[in-house]
Parts: sequence; structure tokens; C-alpha cells
Amino acid sequence: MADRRRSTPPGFRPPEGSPTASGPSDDVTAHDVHRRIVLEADPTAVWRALTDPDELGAWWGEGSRLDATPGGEGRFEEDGEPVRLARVVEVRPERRLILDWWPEDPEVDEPATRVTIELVPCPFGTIVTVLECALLDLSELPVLVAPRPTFLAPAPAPWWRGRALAGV
Amino acid sequence: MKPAQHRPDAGEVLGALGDPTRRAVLQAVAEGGPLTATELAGPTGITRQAVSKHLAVLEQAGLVQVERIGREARYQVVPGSLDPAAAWLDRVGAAWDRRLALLRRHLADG
Repeated sequence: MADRRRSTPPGFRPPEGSPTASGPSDDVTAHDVHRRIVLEADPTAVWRALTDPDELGAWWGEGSRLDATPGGEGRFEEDGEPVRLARVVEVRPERRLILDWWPEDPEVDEPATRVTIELVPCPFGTIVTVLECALLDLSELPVLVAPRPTFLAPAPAPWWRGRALAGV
Repeated sequence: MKPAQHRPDAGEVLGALGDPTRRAVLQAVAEGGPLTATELAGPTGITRQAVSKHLAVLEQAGLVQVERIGREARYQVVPGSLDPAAAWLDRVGAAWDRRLALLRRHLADG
């Protein structure tokens, strides 16, 4: 039986202790996460930490690697998270890195997402902005529709399949 | 027709949000529901037919429910149905907080 009272939808509150979280808390259609911090290192050093295999493995998680070239592949391993495979969408060295990633294990029910990392030099070092957004439109996921002759990793988990979403 | 009585997971919610017009319809229902398709068509600037189509998808995904009184059908958000997507967003945000803290420490040590 439906309730005649006005429904109060659950808000999308930023996690506690995350002053950099953004976005209106009452947007029930939110599908992205946004973070911004300032690091006391120049963009060259930050970029190296993101793309050099030894450096990436040192802080993200051993075994993580990323070929930071357009179409390059990546693999991310870290504590408490599923292993993720990635494909680079766009690269502007020391400025911008865009990649799509998804859990390696198709049993993990998490959507494929697009991660955009931007580095902006500032007097104190580097402003790092991270935007992770669910890939809502199939056409946004080139790895699914483009030929993948050299891509040996499995395709993203088809999380939208089998859903009762006629017309999507 | 009875609405689907299941708890959608994050993938389902996000999948249903895959259309900007549908996002606008859901937002309007969340803010002003229960509302009829006609009432929703006004403020969202979408035809009643298009609103009905999007409401059907949202209902099938378990995000909105309909109450019919006579010939009137009123839609409102299913309480809790958006929680899995909210929880997913929280997890993604927490993961980045952790990664960025690790990156900061790594750069300080280097």
C-alpha cells in the first residue's frame, strides 16, 4: 500500500570527514564523485607517481601498473578493493589523465566508471582534482564497441544486462 | 499493474539514470511527489507521453511506485530504493580519500 505522505528521498551526503566532497546533497540522480586536494609537489612529480610503475606500486598497491598512453591498459591492485582493469581514454602528460575502469572479476557487481584526474600547478604545488563518474551511456564505453585485437583482458562486467530496464 | 517489489542494486539505479531526461523526471518526483505524469510534464518541460515512458522505466527499475485512484496515477519515489547507489557513491568517495592520502604521504616521503 502506497504511503500518501510526501516521500523524503534519501540524500546523497558526502562521506564524513571529506570537506572536499562536492555536489548538492539533495540531488537524488547523482552518479559521480568529486575530490580536490592540494599536494606539495610539482605536477611532474605527481604525474610520475601516477604513471611510473615503481612509484604507482609503492603507494597505490604492489602490482599496479598503467600504460599512460591513449588506449593504454592498466591494472590496479589495492587493499580492500577489487582488482580493476583500465583503459586510458585521454592523456595530457602532467595535466590530465582520463581512464575507464571496471572490476576484473565479472562477479563483482560494480559499474564501469570513468576517472578523470587533473593536475593544475599552483604556488604551493599541485591542485589535484579527481572525478569518478558512472558510465551511464553505452556509447561512452569504447572498449565495448571498438575492436579489441590486442586487449587480452576481459571486457567490463555487463552490470546493466539482465536488468529490468526496457528502453534504456 | 503492480510495481516491481524488489530492491534495486547500485547498477540498476545507475542504469536507470542513464538518460538525462529520466534523471530530471526522477529528481522532480523526489522533490514533489506524489505527482501525476501530467503534473510532471509541466515543470520538466517534457511531453506527458515522454514522462510516462520514463516513469515506466523508473517503475520497472523499482525506483518509483504508482498509486492509482480512479483514473489518476500518482508517482513517488520508493523509500530506500536509491540507497544502494548512495552507498556506492560513498564507497567510491572513501576510496579516493584513502588513495589521495596515500599519494600525499608517498610524495612527502619521496
